[in-house]
Amino acid sequence: MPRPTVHSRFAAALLEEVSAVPSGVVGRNGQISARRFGVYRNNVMASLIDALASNFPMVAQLLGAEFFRAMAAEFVRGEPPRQPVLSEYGERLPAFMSGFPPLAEYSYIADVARLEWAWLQAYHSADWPVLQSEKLAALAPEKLMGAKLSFLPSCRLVELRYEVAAICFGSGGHDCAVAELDARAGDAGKVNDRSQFCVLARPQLHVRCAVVDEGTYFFLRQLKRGNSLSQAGEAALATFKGFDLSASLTAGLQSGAVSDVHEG
Amino acid sequence: MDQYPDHIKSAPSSDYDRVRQGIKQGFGVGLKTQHYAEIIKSKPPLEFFEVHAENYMGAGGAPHAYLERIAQDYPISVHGVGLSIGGEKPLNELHLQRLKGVVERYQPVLFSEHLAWSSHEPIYYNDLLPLPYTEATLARVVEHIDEVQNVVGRQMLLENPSTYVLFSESTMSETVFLREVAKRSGCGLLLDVNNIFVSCSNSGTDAHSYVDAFPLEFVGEVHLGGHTPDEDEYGNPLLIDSHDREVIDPVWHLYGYAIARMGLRPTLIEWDNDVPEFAKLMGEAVLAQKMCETSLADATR
Repeated sequence: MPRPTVHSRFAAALLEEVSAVPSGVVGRNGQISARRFGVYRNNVMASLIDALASNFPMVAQLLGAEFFRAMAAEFVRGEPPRQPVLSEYGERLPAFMSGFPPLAEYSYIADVARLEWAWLQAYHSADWPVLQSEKLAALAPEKLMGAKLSFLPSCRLVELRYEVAAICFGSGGHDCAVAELDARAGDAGKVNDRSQFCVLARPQLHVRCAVVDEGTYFFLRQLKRGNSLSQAGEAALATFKGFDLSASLTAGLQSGAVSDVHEG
Repeated sequence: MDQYPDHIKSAPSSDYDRVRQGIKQGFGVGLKTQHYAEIIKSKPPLEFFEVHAENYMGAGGAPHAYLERIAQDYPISVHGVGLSIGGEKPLNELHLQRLKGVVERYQPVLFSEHLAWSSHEPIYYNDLLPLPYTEATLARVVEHIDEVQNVVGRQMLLENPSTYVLFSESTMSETVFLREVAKRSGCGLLLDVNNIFVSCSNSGTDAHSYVDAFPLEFVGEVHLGGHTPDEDEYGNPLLIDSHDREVIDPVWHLYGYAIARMGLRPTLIEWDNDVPEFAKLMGEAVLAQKMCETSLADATR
C-alpha cells in the first residue's frame, strides 16, 4: 500500500480529539511544534462551530455558549461538512440533537433547531413572486375546486412536537415575523408539549412563519404535492372532522407561501 | 421592486460606467453584512468592495438584494475561499460551477482564490491549509488553475498564504513556486502583505527578502489585514492571521516597500472577525492610500 500523502496525514489529524503532529510537518528550524499545528486544528474546529452557531443562533442562545460549543464539536467530528458553503451546513444537527443524551430533558430545543434550519433555507432560497389575489378572484367559481396551487421556492412546511415558534422567532434573533393563524396558538415564552404546525415562506426579503392548525397544515401539504383544491379538501375532511376548506385556503394564502394558481 | 427596504431603492450613483471598467489601482474594503445599509446610504469614497464568493452562493434573498444594489455603485471583487486549489484531489465540480455562477452574476473587476487547500475528499475543513512546494504539487496547482480559468472563463489571481508550519518535503521556496504557477497557468497573483509578515515571522525568515523575491510583475491586487501575536512552545513568534484588528506598523511599512517596487495596485483591507464600525474600516483604507502616496514619493525622489 502506498504511504499516505502529507495531505492525507494532515487532514486526518485535523478533527481527531487528540492527535500528533503529522510526520513531515515542521516548524522553524525543523522543530516539531504541536502549538503550530494546533493553530490549524483550532481554526478548523472553531470556525465550523461558529458556522453552526451562526446557522442556529437561537439554539446557541438557549443552550449557552459552553454547552453549545461542546455539543457542536461532537457533531462536527461525526458529521463534518461535505462542501464549502457553510450556510448549507447543519441539516442533520436537529436529528443529532434529538439523539444527544444530555439534551434528553430539553427535547424541545431540537424543534427550535428544526425551525431555524427551515428559516435558513427560506432565507437563501430563490426570489419568487407571491400570488396576486386578483388572479385567484378572476378564476371562474366552477373552476376553483379543480385548480392547483404552486408554492414559493422558500416555502417550508414544518411539523413540530413542541410549540416553539414564538421562542424561536419571538426575540428577534432571526428576521422573521410570526403570524398566529391558528386559533389556539401557543404563548410566547412558554413551551407547551403540544404539536405545532408552521408554514415558512419569504414572500419578499423577510421570512414569515405562519402557525396554522393541523387540518390546514395537512391540506397545504396535499396541495404542495400537486393535488387539486377538491382532492386536498376531501383528503383533509376525511382526516379532520370539521375541516373548513375556505378558512384553510385563506390561512394558506395569508401565509404568503402560495405563488400561483393553475386551472385544473 | 417593492420588496426592498427604502435604502436599497436609493438611486445608483451617476458614474455607473466606471463600474464596468477594470481597475488597476484604488482602495477597497471587504464587504460585511453589518455595513450594507451604511454603504448604500453614504456611498463612501472607495474604489471597490470585495466579497467572499461562498457567502453569495445561495439562490436569492437579502444577500443578493444588497450586493446587487451595492454593485450598481461600486466594482465588486470576488474572492473565493473554498475551492481548495492546493488540494490533492480533483476540484469540486459543483462548487466550481457555483463559483462561476457568482462571477457571472456580479461580473467582478477582480477574481481571486488562495494557494491553499480546504477540502480533502469528502470533508471540507473551512481553513486555508498549507501545502508542500514540490514539482508534484506545482503541476497539480497549475492544472487546477487551468481548470478554474477555463470554466469561469477569465483570469484569476492566486493569493500567497499565511502559514504556521513548513513541510520537510518542500523542494522550492514559496516565491519560486508562485512565479512558476503564474508563468505556467497565466494566472495573476494576489499579494497579501499581512500573510507575508505572518509567514515570515513564523518561519524565521526576512519579509523584505520575500518581497524582493516575489514576482511582483504578476500582482493584480494587494491584501492588508490584522493578525494576532502569540508564541510557540519554544518561545518563537507564532502570528495568527485573524483578520480581527488593525494593520500593524511593520505591515504598513512592508506594504510601502512593495508598492515602491511595483507601483500602485488595487488594495483591499480585510477585517472579517470582530468587525468594527464602518468608519474604522474606512480609516484603514485611508491609511493605505497615505502609505502609497508616501512610498511612491520616496521612490521617485
